[in-house]
Amino acid sequence: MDKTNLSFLLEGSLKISQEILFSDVKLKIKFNKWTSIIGVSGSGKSTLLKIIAGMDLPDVFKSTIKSSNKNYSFSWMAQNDLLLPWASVINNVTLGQKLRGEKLDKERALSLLDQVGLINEVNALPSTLSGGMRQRVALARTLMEDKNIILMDEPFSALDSITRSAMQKLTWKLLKDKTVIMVTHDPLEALLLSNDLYYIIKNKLRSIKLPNSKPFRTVNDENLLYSHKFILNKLEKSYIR
Amino acid sequence: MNYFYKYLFSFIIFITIWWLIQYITDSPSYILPSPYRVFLSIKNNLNLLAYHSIITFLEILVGFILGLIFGMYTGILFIISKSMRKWMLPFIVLTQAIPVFAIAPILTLWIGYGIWSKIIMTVLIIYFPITIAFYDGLKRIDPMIINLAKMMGANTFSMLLKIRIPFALPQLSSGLKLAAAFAPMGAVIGEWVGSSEGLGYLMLYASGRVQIDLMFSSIIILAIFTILLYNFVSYVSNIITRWDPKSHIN
Repeated sequence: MDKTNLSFLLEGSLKISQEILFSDVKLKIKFNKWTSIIGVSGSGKSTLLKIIAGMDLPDVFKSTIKSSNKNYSFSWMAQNDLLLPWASVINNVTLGQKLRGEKLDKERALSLLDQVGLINEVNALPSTLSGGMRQRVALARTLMEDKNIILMDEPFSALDSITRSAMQKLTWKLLKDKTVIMVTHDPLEALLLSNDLYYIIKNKLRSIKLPNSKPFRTVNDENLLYSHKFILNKLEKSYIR
Repeated sequence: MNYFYKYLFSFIIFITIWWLIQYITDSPSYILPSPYRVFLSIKNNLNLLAYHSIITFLEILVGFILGLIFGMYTGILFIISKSMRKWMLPFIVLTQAIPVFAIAPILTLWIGYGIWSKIIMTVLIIYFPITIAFYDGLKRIDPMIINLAKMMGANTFSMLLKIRIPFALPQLSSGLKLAAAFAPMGAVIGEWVGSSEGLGYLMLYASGRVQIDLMFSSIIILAIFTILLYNFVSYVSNIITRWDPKSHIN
């Protein structure tokens, strides 16, 4: 296989009004791997993800970030599950097909709902579900779309710690062979799940050497704890300027 | 049923106060007729009232439906076309700056004494609240949901039909309820300015002949129309916004 097809590169810089958010971003995304970006609140990490997705940004942002390939399709999973409140679980999962006017693949939707443990809630409305269940519906919807690249904007940060841990394992299980770009403020989460890890410090995007073990890592991994401490130190310094 | 009793209770209170005022002030019946006299008048003029009521009811109903269609259509145009929103919105606000009372005689002059000038009056009165409420609803939506739908490959039409319009239903419901309360006003104003039938006409006719009890009968029937229309609209609103907890507080 041609080597250039195994990854793509994002380069450029981003300004908000006159202030620089990122200068000289160089982000290499490898296919079928998880790439995570850690940064404190307001560091522009979510904006970076929106740029990758090609979303419209408010006029105050000025971006020169270019991607080496534009033919990818994306799906999106965020902290807010973005479920349609009037649609049942199954209708939310098949939303993409409905919007495109395609024939609904109910069988596949049901099998995905089974995988995320919601086979008994197929006809429930989102408002009757817990936060964790809603996020699992969003996960099933993301999988249903089957796009090249999955973008995740702090997908677990609104969940309680037990649910979050379970969700991280489930998401990893279902998405481990996909190309995922995840933005998070939680260094531990990023260390557990990532193949490649970047952090944002002083308007720069830097990569971090990860422990040799493969994700999904265990929390008692000594190298992981060392990396965790290292990231926290760096990020704290960037916070107290 | 509970709902029905609430209305019955308000009705009894209203009749009692009316009767008390009439009793205490001892007004002659050509100034303030007693509830009983009005009841008798409704009974004696049933055919007359029914005839004029049907006309007014028709004007309200057709006006309401047309106003709803035009209002929703304009709201959708504003969302999908930036230039429409830029050029049409000020124009619509401008039309609202002219009092409908001032437009009514012109409409009668242009369209005639028939039912259509009243229907158009009704449309004019409810068009604005429906347009603005619906447009606001279509606009007030989490931009991330729009982004998500775009990523999923939604086109303008499926975005409207499957995302924006359902999200706008709670706001549209508010507009509909306002419209239900205003619509009878439009029809009656139209009838006052120039007509030979309808409850508005009957009010003027009765007032001219000092048949105040007949005038009160017309007002009561009009009030009942308004309450019925409002409740029907509320009922439909509750069904279409069942999923929205914010639309349902006890």
